[in-house]
Amino acid sequence: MKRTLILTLAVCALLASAIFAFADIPRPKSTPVQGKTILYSGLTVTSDPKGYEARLQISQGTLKHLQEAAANSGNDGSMVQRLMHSSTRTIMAGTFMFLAISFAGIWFARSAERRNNKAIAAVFLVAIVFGLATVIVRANAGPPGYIRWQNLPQSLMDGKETAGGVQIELVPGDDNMKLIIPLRKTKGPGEE
Amino acid sequence: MERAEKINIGVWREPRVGTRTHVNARAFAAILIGSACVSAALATWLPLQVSIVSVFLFAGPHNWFEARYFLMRLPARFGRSRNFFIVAFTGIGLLTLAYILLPALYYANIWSGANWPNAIAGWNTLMILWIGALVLMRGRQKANRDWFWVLPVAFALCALNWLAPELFSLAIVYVHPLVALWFLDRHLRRTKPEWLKTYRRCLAW
Repeated sequence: MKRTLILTLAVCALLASAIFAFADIPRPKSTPVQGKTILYSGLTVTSDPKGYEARLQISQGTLKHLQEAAANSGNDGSMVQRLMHSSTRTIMAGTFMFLAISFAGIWFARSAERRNNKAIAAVFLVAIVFGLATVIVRANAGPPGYIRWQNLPQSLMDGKETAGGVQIELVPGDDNMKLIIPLRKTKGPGEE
Repeated sequence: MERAEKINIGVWREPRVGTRTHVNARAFAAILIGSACVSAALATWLPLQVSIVSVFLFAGPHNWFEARYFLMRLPARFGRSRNFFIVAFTGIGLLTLAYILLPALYYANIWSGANWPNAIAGWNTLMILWIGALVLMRGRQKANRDWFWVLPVAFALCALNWLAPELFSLAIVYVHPLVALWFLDRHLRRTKPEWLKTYRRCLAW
């Protein structure tokens, strides 16, 4: 009897430990789902001291663009965004630009003897075309978007508006809407 | 032989000369401007219908202008232009075949839709390089002509094409009928030089 009791207690202890051990098994790591950018728009964040619920205001035009972008989600974003995300096209365009400039230089050097104003004008025209192409690929990109959001906490406390760019992403699932603000931690004058 | 010697060659004339209609440059200009005004009025009145009709109506004539000019200028013997015509006809064949195959491969799910712009850009690049090669080969046949500038222009067009393949393809669709105007210019220079000045003024207008 005593032996049976000890055996039963041992089995119960084993089961209990198994339950605790099972609880200690880490949850399977869920790979973060990458959202798919379908539209680039603007966002203004402001506070309302008299409001009871957070509100999301979307203009009819933006909603229409959003619906169209979601319907055509196969084509993600604008031409510039697609180009920036397509390394093949960027490499090919850069290679051909390099070839064009190189051969233009050879041609310009070869025609040095009979150089005239038309040739110089043509070279300037090509240079203008490449300058425009450079603008298209954002080689002269402005400051990053997170700069506009740096004063968001202070603006919220002051009741002021903060406006900046926002990428609207489609994420699978049925979770709530999530607004991710790119805030960088800034060190105060006395902090290390 | 004796009868042949008695043939009166003095009265022989080119058969088409007598039947050829004579339209002076002013009448030609009036026809051009009138057609442009009527087209503009119709396009304003019924924009969608006229755009559809004009596609079907003018797709034929502009191709006919180009084909007619090409057939008239095609030599009976290729001679020293043999390589030029080999490259030309090979390019036409291969590019046409690739143009037909691209949609077929796409609908057969050979590649995903994400690679479709790359395929279009590749086809456009081959076409630009083919035209550039033809221009260079033609330039070599003419003395004192340096058409080396074609290479940088062709490469620049290739770069623009890779930046925006869909827009470049759309530009080809809208620009290629304008090539017929250039063909017509060359045709008038040979057959109706008195119309050429009027024609160019009308185009500029």
